[in-house]
Amino acid sequence: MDQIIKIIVLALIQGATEPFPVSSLGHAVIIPSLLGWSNLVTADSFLPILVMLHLGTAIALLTFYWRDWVALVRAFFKTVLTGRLDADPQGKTIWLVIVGTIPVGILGLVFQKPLQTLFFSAPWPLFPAAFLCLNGAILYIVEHLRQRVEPANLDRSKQEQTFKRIDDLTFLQAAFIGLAQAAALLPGISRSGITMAASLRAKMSHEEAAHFTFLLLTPVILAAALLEVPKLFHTDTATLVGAIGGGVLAGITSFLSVRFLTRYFKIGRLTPFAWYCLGAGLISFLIFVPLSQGWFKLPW
Amino acid sequence: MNKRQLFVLILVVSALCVVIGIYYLIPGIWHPLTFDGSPTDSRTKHALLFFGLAVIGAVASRFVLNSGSTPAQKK
Repeated sequence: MDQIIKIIVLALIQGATEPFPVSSLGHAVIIPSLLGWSNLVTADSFLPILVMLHLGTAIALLTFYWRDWVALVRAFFKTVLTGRLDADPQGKTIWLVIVGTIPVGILGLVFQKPLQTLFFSAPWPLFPAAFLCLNGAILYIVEHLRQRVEPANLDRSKQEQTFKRIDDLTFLQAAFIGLAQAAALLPGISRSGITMAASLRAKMSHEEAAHFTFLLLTPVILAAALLEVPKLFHTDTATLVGAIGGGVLAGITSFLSVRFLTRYFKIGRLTPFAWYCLGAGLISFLIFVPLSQGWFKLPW
Repeated sequence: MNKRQLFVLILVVSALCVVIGIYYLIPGIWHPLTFDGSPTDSRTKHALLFFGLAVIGAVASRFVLNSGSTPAQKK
């Protein structure tokens, strides 16, 4: 029963916080620590469950954007076979996604393990709490800088129309946005948040920035999950069933979250998420510092 | 840099990626940028990454060569 509750909580955390710009990895470390579930994220017994949670999220993203992905895959083959980017209307978009995925692919492969060892070996997640504050600060600053360049005499939806769409990006901009996504290797920095922030700095509209972000997220999360799938083969049936259930729950939560965010970012801003991250990070930090010093203990 | 030069540069980088990928497959020699296990182990993921980059580079080089011309001009 205890295991089931932990799976449900983790699944809801993962499903909601992956698309939202609030750092799923940070929450996956901070909340279990607050609940007294120390080292949950790195415990061997929970690895299959974490794999399925990420797989559930990736499948949710693929499902939500299935029409895009069908068009993008078709565009990929058409552009490769003809050697021309303009062979398909989505030709440039798929190659922007590929170029944006390269930096995080390289940096993730090289640095993910040492960063995990560095930040997850500590008994209390002080660094994730601090990075969550940093995440909030980045979102706030980027949104503040954006508001300074928006035309003042237009309503929100018309303001957004003055900014770029995905196809207006250059490949260099896509590479920089991909590089920004690599910062999410630090627990507490949101993958979707930092990617959206970089996209806004590239002068994309909020809606298009969110769209591009979720397209970029999908191959990264899917690849990371699929690379860990072999670990599922050494799992007992009960854990596997629990993991699959968690994956489904995470997928449903992610799907609903993405649907909300795509509507929200038609005219919404990153500012509320910035304040949330700053507040949650600061409160977590203020709780974990005394805990790490042994000044008090959690009652459970 | 003109299209031809960029095309050659991309092909050279792609060839380098193939070489690096093969390098990571060879066991018993030191492999940089590896932080788990022994640095002399064969590294399949690193090799696949560099082979993937080589393929992307090879495809991208065709885009560079064909950019700016219409399909009719190409024929």
